[in-house]
Amino acid sequence: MITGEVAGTVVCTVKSSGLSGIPLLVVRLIESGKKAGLVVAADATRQAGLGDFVFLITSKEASAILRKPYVPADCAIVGFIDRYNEEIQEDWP
Amino acid sequence: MRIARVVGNVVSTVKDAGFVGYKLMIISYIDEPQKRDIAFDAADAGVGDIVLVVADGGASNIALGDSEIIADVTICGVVDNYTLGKTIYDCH
Amino acid sequence: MQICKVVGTVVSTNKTEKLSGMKLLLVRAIDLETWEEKGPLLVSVDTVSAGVGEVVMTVGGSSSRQTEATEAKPVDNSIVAIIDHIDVGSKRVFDRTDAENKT
Repeated sequence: MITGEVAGTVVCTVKSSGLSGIPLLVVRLIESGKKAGLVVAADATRQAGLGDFVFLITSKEASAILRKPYVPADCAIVGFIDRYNEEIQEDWP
Repeated sequence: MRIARVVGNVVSTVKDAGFVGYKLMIISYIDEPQKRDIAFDAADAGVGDIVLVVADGGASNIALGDSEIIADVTICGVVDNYTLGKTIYDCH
Repeated sequence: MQICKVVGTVVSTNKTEKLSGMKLLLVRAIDLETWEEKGPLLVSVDTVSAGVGEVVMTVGGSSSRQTEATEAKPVDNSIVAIIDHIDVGSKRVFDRTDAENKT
């Protein structure tokens, strides 16, 4: 799973029927506290908004987490981050 | 999927038992001609053909009709023509 | 998922029977920061009747087989939506009606 911050929205009228009712969001990835690239993700929580810190699941699990047949998604928001602690030490193996 | 040209074939006698009976081709991608890949052939392609390749294990299993085979890149069609912008490329 | 631009079409008659009847389009990924095309030229199965020049959303890997049209088919990339508009921050970075008016 990966972490990110919701940065925008994608709106589509014409889409695969399995995606109907699932919000599509633009997410700014965060790697070790630093901002990284932008991705598009389906919002499995259906309540994420601009500026929320979230974690995402990728690959086939993204369609599985939406728990209905035929959801063509390979990246999905699955939860919100309240607190995030990461310790980085130079001498870690 | 990507579009590639078949540039050769590979013959191997000693290989994983699951690979016996499959044809292996060397391909170069049309947008990345310097790169080479070895692909299984599910479409009876010949050297010089422009082909469609899938680069996914699950898709390769389906294309080859063999759920046991461990394959990554597989040729699943021969391209007749394709357009890029306004240019038509005839592949015959 | 990837935002892509449709750049061409592909016609193939001699393909595995499991691919028959599928519409294949050539797409290239769009970088959401710079809005430039990047990465390899991909062949994607169209499930939403998209056309050349349109901005679409594609899915890759095994998720691309999670549509009624592509289930159990040898597919590794599918077009699953046509984009109306994209907002990043408070800025509208893409609008379909603007793009149609320009062409």
